[in-house]
Amino acid sequence: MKFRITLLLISICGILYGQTEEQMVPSELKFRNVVNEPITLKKGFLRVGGVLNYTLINQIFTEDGERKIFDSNIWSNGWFNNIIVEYGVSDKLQVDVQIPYYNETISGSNYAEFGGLNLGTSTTEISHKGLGDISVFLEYQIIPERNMGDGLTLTMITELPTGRKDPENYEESPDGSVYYERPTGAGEFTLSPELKFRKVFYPFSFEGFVGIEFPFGGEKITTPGSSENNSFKGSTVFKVSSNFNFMINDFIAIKNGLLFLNLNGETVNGMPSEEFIGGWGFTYFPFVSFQFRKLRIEEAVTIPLMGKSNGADISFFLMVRYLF
Amino acid sequence: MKRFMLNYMIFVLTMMIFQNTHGQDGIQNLRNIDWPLTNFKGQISIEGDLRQYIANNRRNDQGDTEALRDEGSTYSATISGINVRYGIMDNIELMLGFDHQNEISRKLTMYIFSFNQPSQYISTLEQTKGFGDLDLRISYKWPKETESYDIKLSVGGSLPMAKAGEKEPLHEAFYDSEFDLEEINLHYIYGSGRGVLQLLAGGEFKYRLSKNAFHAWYYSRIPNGAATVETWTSVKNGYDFEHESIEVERQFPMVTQFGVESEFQISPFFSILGGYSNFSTSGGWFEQGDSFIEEPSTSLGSLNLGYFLIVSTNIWLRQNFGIPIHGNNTYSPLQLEASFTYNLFK
Repeated sequence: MKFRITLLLISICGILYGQTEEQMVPSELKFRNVVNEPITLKKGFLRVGGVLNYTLINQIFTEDGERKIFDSNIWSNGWFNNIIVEYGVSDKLQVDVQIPYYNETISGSNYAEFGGLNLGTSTTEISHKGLGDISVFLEYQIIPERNMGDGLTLTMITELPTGRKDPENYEESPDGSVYYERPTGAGEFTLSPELKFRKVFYPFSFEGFVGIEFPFGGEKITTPGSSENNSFKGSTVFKVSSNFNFMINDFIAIKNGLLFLNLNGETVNGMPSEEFIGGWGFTYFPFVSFQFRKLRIEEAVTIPLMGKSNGADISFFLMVRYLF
Repeated sequence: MKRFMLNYMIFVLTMMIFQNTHGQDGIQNLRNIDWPLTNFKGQISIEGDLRQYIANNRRNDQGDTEALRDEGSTYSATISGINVRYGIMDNIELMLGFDHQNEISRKLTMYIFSFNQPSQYISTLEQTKGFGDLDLRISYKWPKETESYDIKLSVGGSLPMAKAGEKEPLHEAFYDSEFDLEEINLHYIYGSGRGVLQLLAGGEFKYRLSKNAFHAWYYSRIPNGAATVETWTSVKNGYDFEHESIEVERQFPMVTQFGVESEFQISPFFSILGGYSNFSTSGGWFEQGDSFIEEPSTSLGSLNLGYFLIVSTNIWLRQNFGIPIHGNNTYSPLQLEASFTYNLFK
């Protein structure tokens, strides 16, 4: 009798679990969303897409950690775009390439007066347009995927200095107006190992990652208008993030992420940079993902919660990706 | 932070529980365009929305576009709001709502050089921040049974719960040794309230075809007279400011909103929206002592494109993107709007 009851309970459990997760044929793997998709792309799968990002320049977290609105009339007009190509080399290894492109103008203006005499208005215009630093991601399942999505991956991200590293075309008018083209690249290689963990409790999933970005330094012009090359090294960046995701239905999933970044500051000619002495940021990012068969449209907003010497503005993202 | 995360988790869990326990009684098959303009009896909807406005231009009094960059000013606004709608009858609905506003505008910065005094760098920031007044509105829908068309008439009031007028300024001044000048940051801050009861009145019309619907609306917000509000004068004394408040009579302008929208049902739960909306203000003035200043009327017309997604009977998501096409005496911002509705249906 005990055996029969046990068998019955096991059967019921089997039925209940069987209803929550369907067995998929290989072609259906392409329809899976951010919650239950394979932790790396399956062999031969190619996903291509783009990211459109807009960030205001309104607020910063000061060195004291206080959220402060910029006093000056600095303004940013433009977008940041990123083309993403992802490819499954094998069932355990994925390669991604991200190609950023900036299309932004930052401006400000000042009225000047001397002894009551109007000296006119000068403007500062900083063009920030062009190809940025291309990143190559190698993502490998060090604990192979189990139970439709659980797993641990090691990602190695290499950032190549393909963007313009120096400020260029500096022009200063007699009225004090300034124009120059801001660098679109960091001017140095970086290498970032990241460990990513995922556990699926269908229809929920939990993700966490920890990573560190090592800069290798280089030489560049650090002051606009100057021709002096300085040796420099960017910040070492420590990253920790976790996401709690859930599926609302088969084609909509919501992600909730928290990201902590710590930057140790830049050095110029071996000395700590006056421009950036280091800081940290703690950000919340809600994320909606729509999966229309092989097409994925995602929207996200990053909301800085706390920080020090870091941006405090909301940032908007729209991502469109298609799995071939 | 702990409390925020805890509250957030409770919200998500509550949402999931409600999703699984409510909204299963026959109305789940309604397509987007079929939903009536008012809630059915006993139905409660909670709608949260977020609107982001980012302007690079303004429209002058002739309606011409002027780049804010040329005048050295900037404008952005983030407005979030909550509306709760309750169906008293199948065709009578009560709505309660309020907004939170954070509008930031900067003016041209100035360098003042002089012979006898230290040079000054002056920046000016104007911010409208805080919760707005509490809106209470009752709506009547005709015909009672939803057919090919709905007509909704609404009337109500906006109760003066929030701070109106200017708050004490947050100016600061300090010596900047790097540039050997005195830096003065003028930070004016205003409340989002209107100080007096406002009449809310308007209506909506919706006409449905097999896969399309046309929707038109008109709403007005009329202040019941002028309000006595504070404005502040500031005197700089060294690196400190002394502020003094003065009472002024302020007639906030009447606000009118109207628009038309076409909705196309792509699938039973997803529709796309396109239309035109207009926001205008008129009749505002303020009086201080002998001076009487009339505020110019403003108007802004925008083309809108968006979608409406019924995730489940309980959860609706709308997003809208607006591009300004004409206007007078106002900023001309791009508009990003997202609203999330949670229906606590029986």
